[in-house]
Amino acid sequence: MPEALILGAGGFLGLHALDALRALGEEPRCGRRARSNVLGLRSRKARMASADLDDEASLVEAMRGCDRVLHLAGHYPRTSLDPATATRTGLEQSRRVLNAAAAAGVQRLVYVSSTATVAPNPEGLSDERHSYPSPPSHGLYHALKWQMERLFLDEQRFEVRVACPSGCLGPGDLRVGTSALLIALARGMDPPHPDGTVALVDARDVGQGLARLLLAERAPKRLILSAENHRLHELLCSVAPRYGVPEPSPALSAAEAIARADEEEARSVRENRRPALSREIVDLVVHGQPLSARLAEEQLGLRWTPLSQTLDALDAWARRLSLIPSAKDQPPCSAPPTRPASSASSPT
Amino acid sequence: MRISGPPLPPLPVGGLTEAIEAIGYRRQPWLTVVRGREEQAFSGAELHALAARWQAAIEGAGLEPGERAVVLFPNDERWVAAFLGLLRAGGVAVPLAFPASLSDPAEAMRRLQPLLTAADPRLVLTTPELAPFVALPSVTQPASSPATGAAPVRGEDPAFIQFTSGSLGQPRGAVISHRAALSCTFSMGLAMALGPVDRGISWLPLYHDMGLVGALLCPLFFGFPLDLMRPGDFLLHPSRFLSRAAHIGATVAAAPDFGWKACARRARLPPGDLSRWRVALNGAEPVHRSTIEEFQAAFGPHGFRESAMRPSYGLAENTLGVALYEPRDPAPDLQHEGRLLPSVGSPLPGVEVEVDPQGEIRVRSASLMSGYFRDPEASAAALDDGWLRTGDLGQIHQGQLYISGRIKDLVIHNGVKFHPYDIERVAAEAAGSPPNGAVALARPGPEAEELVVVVEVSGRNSEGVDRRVRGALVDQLGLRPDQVLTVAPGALPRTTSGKVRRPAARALFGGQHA
Amino acid sequence: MLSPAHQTRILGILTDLTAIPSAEIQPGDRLSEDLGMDSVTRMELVSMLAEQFDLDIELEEAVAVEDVRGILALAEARLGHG
Repeated sequence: MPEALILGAGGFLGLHALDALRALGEEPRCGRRARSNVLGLRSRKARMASADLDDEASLVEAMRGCDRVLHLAGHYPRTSLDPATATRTGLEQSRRVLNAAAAAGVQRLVYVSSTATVAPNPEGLSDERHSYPSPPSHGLYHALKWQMERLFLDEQRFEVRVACPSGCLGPGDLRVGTSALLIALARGMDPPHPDGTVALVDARDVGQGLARLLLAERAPKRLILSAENHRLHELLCSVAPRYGVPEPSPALSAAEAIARADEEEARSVRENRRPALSREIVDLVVHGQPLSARLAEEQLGLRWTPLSQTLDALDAWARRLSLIPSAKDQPPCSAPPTRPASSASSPT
Repeated sequence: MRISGPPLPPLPVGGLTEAIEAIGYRRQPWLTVVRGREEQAFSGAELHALAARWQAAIEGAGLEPGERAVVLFPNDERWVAAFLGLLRAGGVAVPLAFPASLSDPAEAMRRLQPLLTAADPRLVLTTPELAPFVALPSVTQPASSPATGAAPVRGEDPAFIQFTSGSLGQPRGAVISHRAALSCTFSMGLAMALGPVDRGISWLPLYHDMGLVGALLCPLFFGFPLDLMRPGDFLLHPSRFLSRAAHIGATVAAAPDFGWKACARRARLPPGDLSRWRVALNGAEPVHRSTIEEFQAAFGPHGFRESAMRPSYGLAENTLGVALYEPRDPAPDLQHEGRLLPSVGSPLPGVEVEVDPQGEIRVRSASLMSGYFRDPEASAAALDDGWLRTGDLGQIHQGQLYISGRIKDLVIHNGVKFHPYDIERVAAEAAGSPPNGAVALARPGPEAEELVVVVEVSGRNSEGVDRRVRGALVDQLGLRPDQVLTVAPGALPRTTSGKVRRPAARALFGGQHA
Repeated sequence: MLSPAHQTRILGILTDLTAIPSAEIQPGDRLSEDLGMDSVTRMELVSMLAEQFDLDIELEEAVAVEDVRGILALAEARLGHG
């Protein structure tokens, strides 16, 4: 039987997609770069194949005998300081993946993009129909994700499906995006943050969605994977009691947040550490849209884990790894439930 | 005294239909049907497509969401696909026992008539051979093209009705909601640590609660493949079941005690390596220490791990599982009236168990039935303020549950429950005695519980009465008594109103061995 | 014809399973109605026959056996004469 290949299987979402595919009886090959962290793949006894996005021959070799490829390894610039290099790298790597897939005879490729490519809907929730006609000018992250997604959507040699997961939360998170803010909050660090709409989704649901998108006979060309829409500041306030920490300081204005993030990123490069606030997350929050993932529910039969359950799972994981202090008198289940600002999914 | 399992985490999906959708994405074999020496594998996608075609046929026959349909097939892909298709159509499944022999289909259907009457279904899903003998609209084939999408269901909607006894007098159908079915499956799966790497094998009939939940819903929900055998193939060739389990590297299987005993006693050939086997669930009837020991003695040398044999307790009114023995938490047998009772472990996640002052086991969980179908009186008697009165007697000792007997005078024979009333009626009629002229008693035997039928016979009817009673019981109930005793009219102890006094009868006749 | 020794062994199996003395078992006796065997015991009968004579018998043949004559005929067909 033809196999599936996952590019980026060792990452946060990749491992969840691998778990979901295995639950469906697939034993996908997992592409690995020479120096990448493969602890998660090792502990799962995954089958690994060398695949480097900067080496097209290695990609063709890894894809040989595979009819489907799940690509979660799209370029993710650590900072927004060098747009030219980041854009060149992202687009070149994307072309290599596409060319290798064509050469290896792949029939279907699922590319994992971002909800950064979903444009606002003045009348309400945004869905798959709302996209920007040209690269949005919010910042590097949005522009790069738009250009990369365009390349994949334009592919004619084989079938491409694009998944746009919103802010992913859940066990295994490598402390990026919204969960970085949540963990900082839980550690009592009062993280500086802008305010805006954040669409969130359980990473396990995204894994399930990606697995189904890869295997389904028929599916839409572009699909949003997202559960709930929240206002970021309100969300941080509502989860503070869960960790027994005070409510966070008021949100920064958009301009303040952008200036602060640019400054943090410059310093993080000098000091070789993670920025306390990244430009990418600021852009995502400031320009965030409330989303609807009805299409994924209808077409793939997906259901979304409520945020409170996702946070329970995230907390349990983060406590085990001592990323946040263990609960003493604050069991996660007794924390007040988080309240969606507006629900992306109608009650079922 | 009350004991509770760990909390049941929130259910990850809202209905069985969602689990059915998930299996449709599986390209790998999910169900392998084994008929004799032949086998046929179906991927999750193939089975899903087949279920969608059954759904189209069922909807085409006019079944509306919430309506009942009888599922009457042999233990193969037709059963599974029609059942799943029916659930996708929003229907309520009523699984009934498929006749062992089709040599007289009219007679086979006549025997099912009391259950068909009680279930009052809109449709009967069955084979082309049986359909002409069904007095109701039937569906015997999937449609040529699939239905699109599943009907929406809510957790409280009924998913299936499990008839709990072979009773002729008063068939009782436990109504199981989607939520109860999922809770039970999830709870059992957590306790057994089921997951996609598991490999299931089963010979249990799917119309039986243990077969339906243990063998079908667990693999469906936890996404692991299942090898499904026909019960007759197992009974005829226990060796084949074991060697197949070894061959495929089975990790999980469930059966009543008599099934494991049959393996230990009658398997002829060395099965092969059984070291991957993690869970051999032993339940649905009393568990005997001798069975566990014999099975271990026979298959320990082939790698079967002692920790894999897991005594359990369950009943259809709780969908299935209530308690499960955990070998990491060992418990000694309990001495009870000269017998050794193995522990059936502690409650499953989300299940609470208590033993009331009369010794009756009561159960509370999210897996409880909604009630007995169209029987408010029996439902009210069984469900008391959210607690199920099981009718089983038990003891709680150091957090472990032990089953010591039954309060209701039910007779469990090969995992099937019978009401003594039915046995007595049939026996009295066959013996030519008045309706209250017989009593059915269960007594502890050297290995399993034994069924004794005592009939009052007058001299002129006594010729061949033993054979007549045995023949009638098998013929009408599929039940074989261990002993038939004949006594003179008036020998049975009675109340002033003429009812047989069961405890006194048991004291008089229950201790005798043939 | 089945040899007398084989016949005796088969009747012995029937006696083990039904507690009815061999002398009382007639070829025309039906397994269920006359000998009181349920479906599990009937399978056990064929299974024990297969075991004692080292035969491979399939379910379809087993369910077709309805009386004592049937089980003797099945044995005869498989064991041949003598």
